[in-house]
Amino acid sequence: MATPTPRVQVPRSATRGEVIEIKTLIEHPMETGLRLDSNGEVIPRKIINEFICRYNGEVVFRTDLHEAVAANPFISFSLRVTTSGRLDFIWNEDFGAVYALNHTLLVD
Amino acid sequence: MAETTVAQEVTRRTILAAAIAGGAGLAGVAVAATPEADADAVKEARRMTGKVVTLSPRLHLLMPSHFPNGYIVPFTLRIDSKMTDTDHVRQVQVLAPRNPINPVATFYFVPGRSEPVVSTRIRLAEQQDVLAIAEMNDGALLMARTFVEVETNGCK
Amino acid sequence: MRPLIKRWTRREIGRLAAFTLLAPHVARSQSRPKVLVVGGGSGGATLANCLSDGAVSDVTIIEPKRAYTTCFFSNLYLAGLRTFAELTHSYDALARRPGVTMIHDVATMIDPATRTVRLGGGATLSYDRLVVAAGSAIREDTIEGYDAAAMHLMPHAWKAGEQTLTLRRQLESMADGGLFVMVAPPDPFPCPPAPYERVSLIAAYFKQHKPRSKIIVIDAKNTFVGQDLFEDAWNRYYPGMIEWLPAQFTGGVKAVEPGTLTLRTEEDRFKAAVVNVIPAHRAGDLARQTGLADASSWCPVDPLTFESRLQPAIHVVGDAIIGGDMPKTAFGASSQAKACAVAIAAAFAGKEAATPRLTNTCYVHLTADDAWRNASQFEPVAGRIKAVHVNISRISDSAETRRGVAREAVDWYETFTKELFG
Repeated sequence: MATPTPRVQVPRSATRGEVIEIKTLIEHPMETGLRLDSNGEVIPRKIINEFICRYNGEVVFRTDLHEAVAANPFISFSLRVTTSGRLDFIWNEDFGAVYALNHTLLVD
Repeated sequence: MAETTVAQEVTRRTILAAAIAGGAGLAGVAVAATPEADADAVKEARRMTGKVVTLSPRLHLLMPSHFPNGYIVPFTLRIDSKMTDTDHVRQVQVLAPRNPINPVATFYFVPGRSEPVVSTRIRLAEQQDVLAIAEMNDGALLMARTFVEVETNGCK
Repeated sequence: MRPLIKRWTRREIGRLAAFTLLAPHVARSQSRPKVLVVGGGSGGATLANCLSDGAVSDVTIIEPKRAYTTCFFSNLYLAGLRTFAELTHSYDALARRPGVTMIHDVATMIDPATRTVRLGGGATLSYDRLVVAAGSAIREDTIEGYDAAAMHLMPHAWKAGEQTLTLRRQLESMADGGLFVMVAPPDPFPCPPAPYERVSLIAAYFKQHKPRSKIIVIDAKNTFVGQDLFEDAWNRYYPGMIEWLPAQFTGGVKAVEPGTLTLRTEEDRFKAAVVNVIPAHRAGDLARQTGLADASSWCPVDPLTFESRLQPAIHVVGDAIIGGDMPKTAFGASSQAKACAVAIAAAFAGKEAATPRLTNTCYVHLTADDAWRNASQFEPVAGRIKAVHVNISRISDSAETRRGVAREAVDWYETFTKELFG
């Protein structure tokens, strides 16, 4: 499997106290462990099992994902912004691989 | 009461077995918006999570009633809460009782930081009540359900 | 395996002939009823074949082009698997059929009041029944900057011909490692699986000739037909090459800059080596100008007869109609045209036509040897066209099964085009 590409849509700037919507998308087959390959063998489970958003280091939103989250997980959530700073987006995959993006948010 | 429980458990095992084997979903079992269906959903939630929940209009599960595939079904969840320190939702657990693996996702929110709204897409093996159980900061357990019909098995 | 097409059967010809025999006696000096067909695509050609076969009426087809290039299978040409000549079919045989007249001109105006059609060359033709089978048109008002000039730099290739050649040339010229971006349209549009078949086959071409290249699809939709089948194939055959971005993530493409091959979504810019924009569609201009389309920009028809609900004695078949569950395809247009022919024959005989059974079969290629199929049946139910039976391939199909479908697709193409154009 090729390295999953994560993408995030975040507004470049916001005003203090504003609610911003953040959209995330990561390419990933979310293999459930229920499918059989053409030889009749079970394709082992391998999914993104967790998504975390940190705002200036603090976890502000988190998701546990299970097999029923559709392939290429799309998660859109909203944050109430306070100060400028760094947004970190982290996807944890089964067996320890981690994918991450970060974004600088300007808040006035 | 025990007999009803056993009968429902057998039905659920049959559903799960059929779904795993890739068999056709239940034919024509529509779950109407009735007090009985609500009570069943509450019992289902208890069986799946051990939690005693109350159906609540504060919890909104927004999904299409009908979707052309079970592969990428739109899902939005919204909770009526100002997300203050004294009144906020801590987490929401989403379950698909008729999928081969029932848990879908759990969303964790932080007061003053994240809003109680989230969207994603989910897989459904067959038509069913999708359940959401919200745990509030005061320990209250709220539930919502929404019935979704899908034309294909998204879990194959 | 016999291809799943609904051939023009003897029974159907018999039904048409029966209507003819029951027709009121006409004086020897009068000619047969006149049916005009605007458009020589699969709908128009099928109508001409049916009406002339059953000796129901004289049929005149108005079609500006001298030969027909099929949109179906044009994705195979884009991938280098078919030649352009193999997609193109002469109208000579159709024009020579007894009872059929073909006029290579453009219909510029239809006057329902006088039952006449004006042609670009100046002639005016009269009709007893008119069938508009002129297809759909691309909307030029939905993506800022995507106008007629832009179409040369960022081809849609959604009308087979010059556009198809342009896109192929651009793909051939693209360097290895380049980015191909497709903008996929909102529903409804002609041939729902075709954009994703195009992605699959261009990926096959890239894999063989330019393997470091990438493909991004920016969709106006949040899901598409056969999405599970496509994404499974993309993972298996072209891992890491294709990214599909739904509208709920990007907001859709808002504007294009053709000079720099750049696309703008709500929050992002994409710069590509080759851009294929497939815009939103609507019914063709002539149908809309004639008052055959409603506020949706598509043509409401009676699904029993395909007669327009807005203009009497005018029928509409194919891409331009409000098709209900029936997708906009060449196969479907032909099926509708057969039902329409029976209905017209019945009308001339003063009888009611039987309820039509409509069919559509889509063959969709994932690679040269792996194709899937959706064979469906439709019926008019409560005034709309409803799917009554759907038979679609599964992800779990064996490679052998899919190879069989690919072979069946080739057989279908040969048979279908021969049926249409002779």
